[in-house]
Amino acid sequence: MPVTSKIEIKNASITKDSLSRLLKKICKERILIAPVRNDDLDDVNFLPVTNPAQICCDYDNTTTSPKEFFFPQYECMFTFSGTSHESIEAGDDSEEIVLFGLRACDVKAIELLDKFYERNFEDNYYLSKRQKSVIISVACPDLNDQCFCTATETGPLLQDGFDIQLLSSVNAYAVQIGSEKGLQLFEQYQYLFGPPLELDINKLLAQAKKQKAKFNLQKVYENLKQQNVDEDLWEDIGARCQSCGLCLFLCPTCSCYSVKDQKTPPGENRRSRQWDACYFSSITRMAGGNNPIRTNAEMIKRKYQHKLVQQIDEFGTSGCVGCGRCNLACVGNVNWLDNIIKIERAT
Amino acid sequence: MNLQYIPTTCPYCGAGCGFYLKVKDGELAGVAPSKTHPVSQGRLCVKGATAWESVIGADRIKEPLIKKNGKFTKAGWDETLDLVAEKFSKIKENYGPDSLGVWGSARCTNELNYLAQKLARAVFGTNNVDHCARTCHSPTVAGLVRSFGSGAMTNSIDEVKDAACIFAIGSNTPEAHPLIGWRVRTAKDKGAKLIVCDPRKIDTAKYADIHIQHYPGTDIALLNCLMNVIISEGLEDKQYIKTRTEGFEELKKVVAKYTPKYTAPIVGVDADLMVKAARLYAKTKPASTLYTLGITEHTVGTENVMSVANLAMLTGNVGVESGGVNPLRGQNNVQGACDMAALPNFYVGYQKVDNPAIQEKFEKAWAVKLSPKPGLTTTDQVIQAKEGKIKGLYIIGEDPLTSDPNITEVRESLEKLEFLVVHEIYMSPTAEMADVVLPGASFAEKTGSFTNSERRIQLINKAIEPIGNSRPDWQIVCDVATRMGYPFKYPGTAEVMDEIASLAPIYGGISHDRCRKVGLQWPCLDKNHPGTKYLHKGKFTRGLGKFHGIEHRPPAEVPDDEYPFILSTGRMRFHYNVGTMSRRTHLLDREFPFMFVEVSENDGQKLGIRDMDDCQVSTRRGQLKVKARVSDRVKEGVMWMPFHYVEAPANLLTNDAFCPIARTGEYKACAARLEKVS
Amino acid sequence: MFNSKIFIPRAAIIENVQKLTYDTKLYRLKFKYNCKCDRSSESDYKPGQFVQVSVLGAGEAPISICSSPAQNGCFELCVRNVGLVTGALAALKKGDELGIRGPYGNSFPIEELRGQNLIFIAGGIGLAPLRSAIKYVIDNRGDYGKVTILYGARTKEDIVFASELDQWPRQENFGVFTTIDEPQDGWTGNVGVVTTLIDKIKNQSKVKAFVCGPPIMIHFTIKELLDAAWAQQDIITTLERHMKCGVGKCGHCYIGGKYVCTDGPVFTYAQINEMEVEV
Repeated sequence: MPVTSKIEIKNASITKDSLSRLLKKICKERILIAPVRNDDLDDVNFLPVTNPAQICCDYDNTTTSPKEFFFPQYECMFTFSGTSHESIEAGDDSEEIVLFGLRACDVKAIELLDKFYERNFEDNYYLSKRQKSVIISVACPDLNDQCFCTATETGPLLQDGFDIQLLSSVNAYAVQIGSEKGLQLFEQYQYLFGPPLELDINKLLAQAKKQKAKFNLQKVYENLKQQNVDEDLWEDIGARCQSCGLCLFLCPTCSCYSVKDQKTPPGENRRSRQWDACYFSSITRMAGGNNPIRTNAEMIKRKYQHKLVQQIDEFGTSGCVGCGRCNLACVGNVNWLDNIIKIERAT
Repeated sequence: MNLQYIPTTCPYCGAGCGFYLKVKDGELAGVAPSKTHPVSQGRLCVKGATAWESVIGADRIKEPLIKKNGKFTKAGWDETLDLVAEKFSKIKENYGPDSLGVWGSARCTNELNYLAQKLARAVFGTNNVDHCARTCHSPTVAGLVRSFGSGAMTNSIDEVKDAACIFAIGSNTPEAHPLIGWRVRTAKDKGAKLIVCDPRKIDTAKYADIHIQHYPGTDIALLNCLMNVIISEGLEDKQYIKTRTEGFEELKKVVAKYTPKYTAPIVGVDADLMVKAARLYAKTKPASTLYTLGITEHTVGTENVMSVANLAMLTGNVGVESGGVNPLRGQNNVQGACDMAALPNFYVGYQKVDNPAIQEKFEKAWAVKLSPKPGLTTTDQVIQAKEGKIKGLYIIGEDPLTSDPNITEVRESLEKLEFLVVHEIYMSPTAEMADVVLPGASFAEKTGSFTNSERRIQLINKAIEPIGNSRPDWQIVCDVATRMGYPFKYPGTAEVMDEIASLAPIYGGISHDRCRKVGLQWPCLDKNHPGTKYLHKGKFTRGLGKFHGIEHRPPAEVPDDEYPFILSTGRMRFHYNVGTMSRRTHLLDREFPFMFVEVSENDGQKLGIRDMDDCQVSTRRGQLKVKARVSDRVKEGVMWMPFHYVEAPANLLTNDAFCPIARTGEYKACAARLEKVS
Repeated sequence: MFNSKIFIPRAAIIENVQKLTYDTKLYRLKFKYNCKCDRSSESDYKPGQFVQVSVLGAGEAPISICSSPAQNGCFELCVRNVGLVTGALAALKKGDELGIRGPYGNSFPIEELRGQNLIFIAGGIGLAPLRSAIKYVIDNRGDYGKVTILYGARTKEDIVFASELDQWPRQENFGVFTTIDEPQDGWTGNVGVVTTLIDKIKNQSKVKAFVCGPPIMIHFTIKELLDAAWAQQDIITTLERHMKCGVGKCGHCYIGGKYVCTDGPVFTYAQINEMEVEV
């Protein structure tokens, strides 16, 4: 079963008051996940909320990515006792959730992950959670100095690929419904929505596209594909990388994981998976010590190639969605955006 | 779904990063960085990013354990605490208060350390209280107090990025303190000059302007040489020396001998390179000095620290923004454990125990008679245990049988004890020797505060329930005290901090509420004080900064025909100290699963040892079979080992020779031999 | 497929364990029973595919199937004790249970080569995946032409499937040449690394050559084959990678735009070159 099926886009509107009522309703009936600002530190992150008053509306984007609701940092795959595989059953902790407030880049990231987890073999841990989720995204008012969705063609507002997209207007939001799941949610609460605003969405889209792209993705793709990038760049990034993995943990499209058998303190045996990162040398090192990725430079290049060439080849969209989270996460001052621009300018 | 982000402070190094523990349905399930935290600013190192997994090993100690007939049996809390109180009381009665000792912990909270030293002083009646700073930064406290009057990092972590020059000596900053390493990288990217003095070609050495690869144990000679050049070329800050310091003439006299030509063969570095470094350092201001255990873990540790202080004062770099002398503290709360006076000679906030007025203040506050006699360091408690003078020890969150030098000797000492209580989260070689093991709750399971290297007091918050039947360590100490007839009654750790604030002037304005957001840096004298970004502005804590003329002395053990190498030890990025937590973290242990020794290409060639060959490293104290990592990271004649592997503890090899002032062991240099094992 | 749920291993019983060398054992496995949810046949695999072997408490490791699909009801794995999982496997004995996921990966293009001559070049335990193809060829002997096997091991104690290496030459039109790296007492055969045997196939450069073994062996063998006029697409090898899932999700084996577990592990040298992977 596909996690989402597109429909012809339907337009509506919702006032800010009605939106609050909608969210209050959703809180009661399903699990609502929305941006929340921490009381002690000021980060905004997606968390389950029980009251819409907890939702933070004033944010560029969240510190962590919403991928963790479908692909958690740590996840039990199954439990076991003894040595027999006979009675093992896959765990399934999927629940009906509504994610509110995602930015276009994160929606596009999830769309890419959907394709990734559906292709070849279906990863049910991911897909069962995705199937039960509906996403209400909110188009970004503007780019900040680190994000660059106009270059990766993943925002700030979406042409398709969303369940429900909100576009802020004066006292109301223009609403676009783009999938079956979005439509079902819309129909359930139709009485809260109004007629389409007199907002020319195509004009908005055209405007958004005009926001200056920070690089030309096609040029970046070609330069990487044709090996036009000076090896010094990979050497420099490789020397700076401290293998903390954080940029990859924060990335909304990174999906590497490791698997481990372990016992919990209360004594439950689990096979679990947890986020892994291609910036650890041990992710490719084999039992016996041989490592096909020989240098940090190779390791770094592999990631740039993966996101900006191979995922474009495989899925037709950039593996980087331009959210900018990784730019300011590096203890070696590796700025992904700056490096993409260097790659663009290689020829 | 119940997912929460609980803000807390990293339990690893002294940088004190902030992050969120992800808690899903009551279990730890990840870590998220914080963009707004003043130290980490959205970043983390690999240990921080994986810290959630470190405390949920299945082998957490879940019940109190009492050893009966040589075997541990599970026991209830009441039975165990009664036994602990009874045994300690009896030892005190039979042999006197000074036959007991308490080891606080640089891994535990301020509140625990405060209560542990109060237990020793007010309940046991002894000043025999100390903690693991003895194995790391005690020379810093001793040395900087002598030079400046205050033994802490002078400046703030974030100032490092704005330094014009960074002088890093004996500090593998990017591996041991990654978030301070980030500031070094940032400073360099902004155009700062970087001078790295380290026996190994560490990451910072690779991008430094100058790398001085001197022999382990020759820091004083090197520093004296740099000062010799600066003075002989007239590059010292004459005005600063005149108005802010004393003792310059003594210094000048001593360093006169250390010309580059004289020093070069001692340190194994080209004379011209030292001249170049001295000029670059003296002419580029502000210069921030960073150092860690490469300076302190020597028999001349305290003098090493004073030499570092000499150089910084000579060029007027102390008491200025982005300058200073910055000892990077190795453990999450080593600063706090010192501040809390888990030290034998101070009350909380560095108030001397042998000062009658101070004694009176604490006697009044605690309503008990106190001992005026400074107590024993952990080093001397171990030595006196062997002599039968220390009979009972209460060790909290430490594993001297892995972390102390020459552990064979330590084992013999601990075997002599009548009663040993160890308070731990996982079994350790030390806990295995105990009569009673008390299961403590980890950083994720309790509240309290840590003080980071830049004197910033920050909170940890309870994210999950204590595992098994473990309990927050501060509560356990309270129960022991209460059972020994001195009730410790605190509703929570916030009230413990209130008592600390009432007794320690430098913590006068600290409270949990005020520390909730981004912490506060001491000195913070009252409730309105904003905290202190950098120390010694305008005036040193002791008045005038004091120069000390110090002569070079070689390590206690130098290479000879039988043991021709200098062996040094240290920390690496993926592991932490005795490995209790990092070795239980999947992604960390996977990266470096086994012990190794670094050896130079030339030495490898001479001995027929190739990379990843099995080899044996021996010293006069023991031997270890390990893998060889042959590279250009160490220079010829030098070997280096990490100390994180309990199955192959480097401290079987290290020398139990101690700094006579700070009583810290010489982990960084001993004589060793290397052989290939076929 | 053996499994309907991709991450849940299916219980299999060790029918037999045979020690091949000091660190390598051959396991014959049979699924515990055919549960209704798993309709697939035990023989539903192709030479060159691998399975994820699961030992509860230790984890999983990818292991090539080394038996012929024609061998009904059972399959065989040859395992060298080098890591956590293979170490746990080494401790298992006849009658013990383990878990199997798979079969995964592509396979040797053996079907397409009916009627043709074949060359197999193996180093050390690299003979295991090739054995699956070799046995398949023997099971379908009439369909294939001349078969040449070149096999090199470090020492005579490292030789796997020694008795089969002795028996295979008895097959019609089968040439088997074995060598060890250094002279050894009691060894009268060829001495030298496996590439020293390439002379034996010098005039067969139009024949597809299957190469399996440790990275260094693959590296030099391919170099020699290229020098001896083999075309890149006529050299077929397998890439060995660290894997966790086997199904293209965990990312460990990802290289050059391919997932070795799903796009491989069998690649022609032409493909490997295109992926810019160094072998």
